[in-house]
Amino acid sequence: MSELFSQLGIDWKLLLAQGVNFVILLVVLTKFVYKPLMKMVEERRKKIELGIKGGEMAENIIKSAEQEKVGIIKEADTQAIGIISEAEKNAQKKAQEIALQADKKAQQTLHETLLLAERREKEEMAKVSAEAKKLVKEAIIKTVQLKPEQVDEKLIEEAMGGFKA
Amino acid sequence: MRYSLNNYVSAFSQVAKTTSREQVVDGFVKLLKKTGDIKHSQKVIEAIHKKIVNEKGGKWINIEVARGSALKKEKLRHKFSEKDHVDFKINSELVAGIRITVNGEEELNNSLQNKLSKLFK
Repeated sequence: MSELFSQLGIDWKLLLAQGVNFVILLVVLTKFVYKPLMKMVEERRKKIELGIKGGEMAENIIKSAEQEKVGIIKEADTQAIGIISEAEKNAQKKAQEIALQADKKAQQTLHETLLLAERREKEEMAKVSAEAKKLVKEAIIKTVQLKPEQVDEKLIEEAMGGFKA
Repeated sequence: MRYSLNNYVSAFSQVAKTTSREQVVDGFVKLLKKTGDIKHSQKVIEAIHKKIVNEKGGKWINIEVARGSALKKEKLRHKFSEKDHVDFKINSELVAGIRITVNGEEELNNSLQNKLSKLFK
């Protein structure tokens, strides 16, 4: 075997030493370079993975928020339409009520005015009538007073004819 | 008035039953002076007079006419009994006609004023 190495020009001692050196180098590199490097790579990979996941989540959240926004806007639109429609109905109802009340009030006022006018007319008529009666009464009294004897005689005779004490 | 007319009338009636007329009248005048009701003597005398007339079965008649010319006392007096007391009064408010009251209650109002009032009610 050593002859074969010699013939091939290989010094087995040197080969062994180089083998030992290689193993030592391999151990050192593995411990101080490869493992920390792999750990770093793994950490970076996890971070990236986490970032991607976060991004996806954020995207999902944004999408969901967008959908929710659309839903809310739609619902708000529906509600707003409902409120406006209700308000319009209420306004119409209120307007009808106001018109009805105004009409009623106008009719009442008209009725009261007519009653008042009628009462005033009656009062005026009563005044005129009273005045006329007074005038006629005064005229009769004055006429009688011009020549009262005949009236006196007639009334007294009439009274005594029907009187029984 | 210190005492009511009814009190005076009943007092007079009671005393008149037992005492002579002159004494009653004298006593009564003194009483009126004493009570201070002498100023109302006319009312008291009229009330006593009414009582006497009523006790005799007569009536107290008041006749009102508008003017003196219409007051034919004798003619009107004959319409009533001798027992009745008839008072005559001129009341120009009647305008014309007559108003007769018997025992203070109006019996007949045939005055023009009454007729006009009824007519122009």
